[in-house]
Amino acid sequence: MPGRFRVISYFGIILALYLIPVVVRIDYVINLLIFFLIWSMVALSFNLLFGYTGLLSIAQGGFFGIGAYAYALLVMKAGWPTWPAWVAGGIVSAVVSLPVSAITFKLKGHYFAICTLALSLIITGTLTIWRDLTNGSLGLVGVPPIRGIFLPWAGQVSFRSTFSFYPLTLTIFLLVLWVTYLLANSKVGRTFQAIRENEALSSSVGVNPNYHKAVCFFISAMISGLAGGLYASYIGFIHPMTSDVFIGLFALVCTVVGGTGTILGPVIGNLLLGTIPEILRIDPVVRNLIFGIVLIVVVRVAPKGIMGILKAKRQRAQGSRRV
Amino acid sequence: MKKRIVCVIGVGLLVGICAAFFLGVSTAQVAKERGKINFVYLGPMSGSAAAYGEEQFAGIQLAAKDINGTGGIKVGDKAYDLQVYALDVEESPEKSVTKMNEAISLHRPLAFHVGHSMAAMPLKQFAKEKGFILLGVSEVPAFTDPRNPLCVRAWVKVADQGPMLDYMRRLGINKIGILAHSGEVSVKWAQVCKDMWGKRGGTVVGEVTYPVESTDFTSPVTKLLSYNPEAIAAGGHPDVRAANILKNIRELGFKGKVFFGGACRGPRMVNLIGNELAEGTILVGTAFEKGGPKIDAFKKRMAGLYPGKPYGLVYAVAYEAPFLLKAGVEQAKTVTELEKITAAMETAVGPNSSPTGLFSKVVNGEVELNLYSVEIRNGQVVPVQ
Amino acid sequence: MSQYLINGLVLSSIYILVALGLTLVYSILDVPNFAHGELVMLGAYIGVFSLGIVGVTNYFLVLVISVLALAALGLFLEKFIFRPLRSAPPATMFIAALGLVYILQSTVQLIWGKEWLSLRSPFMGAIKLAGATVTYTRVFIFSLSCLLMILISLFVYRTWLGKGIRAVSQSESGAALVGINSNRMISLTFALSGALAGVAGILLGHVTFVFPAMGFSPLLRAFAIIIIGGMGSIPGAIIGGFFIGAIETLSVAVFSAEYADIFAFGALVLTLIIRPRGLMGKLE
Repeated sequence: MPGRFRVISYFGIILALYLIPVVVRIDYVINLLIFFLIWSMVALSFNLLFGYTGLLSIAQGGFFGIGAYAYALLVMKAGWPTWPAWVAGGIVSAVVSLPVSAITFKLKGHYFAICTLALSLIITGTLTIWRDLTNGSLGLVGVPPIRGIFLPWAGQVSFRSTFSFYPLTLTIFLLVLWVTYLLANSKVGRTFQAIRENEALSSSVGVNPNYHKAVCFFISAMISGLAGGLYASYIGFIHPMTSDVFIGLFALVCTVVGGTGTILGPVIGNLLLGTIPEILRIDPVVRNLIFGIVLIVVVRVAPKGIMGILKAKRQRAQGSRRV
Repeated sequence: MKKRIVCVIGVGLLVGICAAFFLGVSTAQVAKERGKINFVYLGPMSGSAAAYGEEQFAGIQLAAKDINGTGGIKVGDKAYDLQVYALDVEESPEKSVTKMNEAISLHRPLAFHVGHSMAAMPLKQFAKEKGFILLGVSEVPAFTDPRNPLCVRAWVKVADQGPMLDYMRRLGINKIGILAHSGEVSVKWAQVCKDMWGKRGGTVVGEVTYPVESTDFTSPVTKLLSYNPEAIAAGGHPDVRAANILKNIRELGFKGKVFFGGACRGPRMVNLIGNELAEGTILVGTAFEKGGPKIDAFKKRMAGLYPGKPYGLVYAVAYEAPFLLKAGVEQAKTVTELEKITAAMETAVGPNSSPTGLFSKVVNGEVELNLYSVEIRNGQVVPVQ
Repeated sequence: MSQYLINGLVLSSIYILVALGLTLVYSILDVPNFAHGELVMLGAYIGVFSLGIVGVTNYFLVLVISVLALAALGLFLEKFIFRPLRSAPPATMFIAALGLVYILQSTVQLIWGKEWLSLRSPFMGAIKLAGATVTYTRVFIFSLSCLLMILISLFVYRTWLGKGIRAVSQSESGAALVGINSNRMISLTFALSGALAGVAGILLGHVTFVFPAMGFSPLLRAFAIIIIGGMGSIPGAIIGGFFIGAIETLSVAVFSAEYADIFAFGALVLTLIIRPRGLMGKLE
C-alpha cells in the first residue's frame, strides 16, 4: 500500500531527525540545524502569503523582530513566564498584521510589495527609536531561554544548551509544516489559491477576498513572530536589526528558488541558500553573488523553482511509464 | 542522459564535501591533547568593517608567533603552543553564535577574542556552558555589567573620556554639543559624556542623535550647531564615519574643537579627509599614542612589517590579547579551570607581562588603559597638555 | 532654519534625479526597477574609478564616462533581463530585479573591496547664502540636478522621441499601430534611466561616501517620491521630491534626525492608503 508506506517513511524520517543530537555530538551541526529550522519557518510563512495567496510581502522581518522583542520584553520587563510569553510574541505579531492588512490590501502587486517593505523599515525604525521600551540599538542582552522541562531521568533540562534547544525547535518547525500542509490542502487553502489566481472572479462567487487575505496574513505573521521568539530565546541577544528587511528578502529568495507554492519548497531553498553556503564556508560576498545569479536563472528558466523541476521530472517519468 | 549524469555527479560531490567536512569536524576534537592551546578570533573579515578584522587578526597572529617563539605558555613543566584561528562573523550576532559553535566543534578553544560588540554580546551567556574565556574588543558597558567572570574587556571603555574632557576644560571650553548615532555604543557614550562634563562644571547645550545607517550628516550637524556650542563631542564613531562628520562640521563653518571618542584612532580619518580638515581634532589617546620605549620599538616593528597600512592601536590591542591569556594561565597554573585563569589576570597582568606596555592592569574584568589627551597635528596624532 | 532648507534642497535634488530614472522605467514597463539604486551606486563607483584615471581636472569627462557606462548598462539589462520577462507575471520582474541587486552589490565588493571610498569634487570653498553656509560643490549639485530635470522634461514632452516614449507607456499596441517601435522606445528609456542614475551616483558620492550599499537609501527615497508624486509622472516626481525633502528636513529640525526615515516612509504609506496614484499619477 503506497499510502501507508509513505506515512511510515515520513515517521521514520521524523524519528531520525529527532535522533540527530543523540548521535551527532557536534555543536556546530546542531547549531546549523537550529538556524536552518528557524529561517525555514520564516520562509514558510512568506510562502503562505506569496505562494498560496499571491501577496508579495516583504514584511516578514518586521514580524520576526516583533515576536523576538515581545518575548524578550514580556519575560524580562513584565516578568511573564517564558512559554506564555513566547506564544504571546506570536500573537502580538499577528495582531500587528491586522492594521497592515487593512492598509495594504487594496494595493496591487508591486505597490503592495513596496508598502510592506516600507512598513518593515518603519518597524525597525520604531524599535530603534523607542528606547524607553526596547533599549534602542543597545539591544536586549541576556534574554532568558524558554524554560526547560523536568525529565525524570535527566533532571531539569535547560533549553539554553544547543543540544536541548534543537528538539524544541524541530517540534515547532514540524508543527508549522503540518499547519502549512493542512492549510494548503484544505478548503481554506484552495480559497487562498483561488484568490491568487483571480480575485475578481473569487469575489463574484461569494468569497470575501479581504477576509481570507487577512486570515492568511494573520497566520503568516504569527509563524514569523513565533520563530522570532525562538531566535531570541536561543541567542539571548536581540537588536533592532533582528527585524531587518533582509530577513524578509531572504525568505523570498529561498521560497522562489525552492519552489513557490509548494510546502517543502522554502525548506529546500533555505537548505540550499542558507545552510550549504555556511558549510562550504563560501565568502559572504561570493555567496550574495550566487544568490543573485540563482534568482535570475530560476526566474528565467525554472519559475517553479527546484520543487517544480522535481515535480516535472516525476510527471515525465510517470507519463513515459504509462506509455 | 548526460544531464542526469552531471546532476548525479554534482549532487554526489556536494554530499561528499559535506560528509568529509563533518568527518573532519568530529575527529578534530583530539587537538587539545596534543599540547596546544587554541585561541579563536571572531571578527568581521568581510563587509564594511573587514579592514578592522584583518588588522586585529594580524596582531593576534604576530602575538602567537612571539609567544611560541619564547617557548609558549608554561604550566608547571608542560609547555603549550598557542594556535590561532580566525572566523568571519561579518557583523551579525547570529553568525557569531554559529561560528562560535563551529570553533568549539573544530578546535575547542580556550579563549575567544571577539572583534566587536555585536558579536561579543551573544557569546557572553554561552561562555560558562560551553566552557571558554571571552576576550572582547567592545566598548559597550553591558559586556561587563552584569559581570560574567569569564568575560574580559580588552579595549577602551565608554567611560574613557576623563582626561580629554579635563583638557577641554583647561582650554576654557564650557558649552558643548554632543552628537551620537542610534547605535549601541554611541548612545551610552553620550550619556556618560553628559554626566562627566556636568561633573566638571561644564554645560551641554544640545544633543543630537541620528540613525546609524545615515551617511549624510549635514542635517544632524546643522541642528547641533544651531545650539551654538563652543565644542563638539561625539563617541562611537570609527574613523570613516568620524571623517565624514568632521568634513560636514567644517564645511558648515564651525571652527571650534571637535572631540571623537575611543573608536576613532586617527590615521584612517586623516587619509580620507586630509591634514587640513583633521587638524586639531581631539582623540582618546593611550600609551600607544603617547609613546614610551617598549611601545616605540613595537611601532617601529609594525611599520617594518606592514609598510603603508594604517595599522595602529587596534593592531596593538589585538597583539596584547593573547599575552593577557598567557599571564592568566601561567599564574593560575591551569588550562582547565577557566574562572581561575580570568581571576588570575587581575594580579598576573602588569607592566612586565605586557610586551608593549599597553595592557598593564586588569581590574574587575576590564583592562585599564592609561589615557592621555591627544590631538591631530599636521596629520599626526600627538599628545597634548 | 535656512540652513536646513538648503541642506534639504540639495539632497532632494539628487533624490529627484534618482526618482526620475525610476519613474521613466515604471511608466513604460509598469514595474518599478528595484535595482535602480544599484545603478546609482555603480555610477558613483565608476566615478571613483575614472577620477582615479583622468584626475579631478577632467571632471566633466568623469561625468560623461559615468553617464555613458550606465546608459550602456541600462540597455544591456533591458535586453537580457527585463525584456524576456515582459510577459511573465509582474512579481517575476521584481524578483529578477532583486537578483540584480545582489549581483551588482557583490560584484562591486569583489572589484573594489569593502572599505568606504570618497569621491572628491573639483569645487572648493563655500559661500554664505541667506544666513546658511553652502559649499560650491552643493551649489553645483543643485544646479546640475535642476538643469537635468528641465532637460528631461523637455525631452519627454517636446521631442519626437519623448512622444514615442509616452505613446508606448500609454498603450503598447496603440503605439505599434502608428508605427512606433516599442522595443526601441523601451531600450531608450532604460538608457536614459541609466544615464540619470550615473549622474545621481556621482553627485551623491560628493555628499556622502561611496560604498556598496549606498544605493538602498536613495532607492527608498525615490520610491517614496514617485508614489507621492504619482508613478510615471515627471512633474509629480519633481514636486514629490521637494515635498519629501521638506518633510525630512523639517522632521530633523523639529524632532530628531532619527525620525527622518520614519516620516519619509510614513508619508509613503499614508499616500498609498489615501491616494495610491499620488499627486499626479495616472489612474490605475
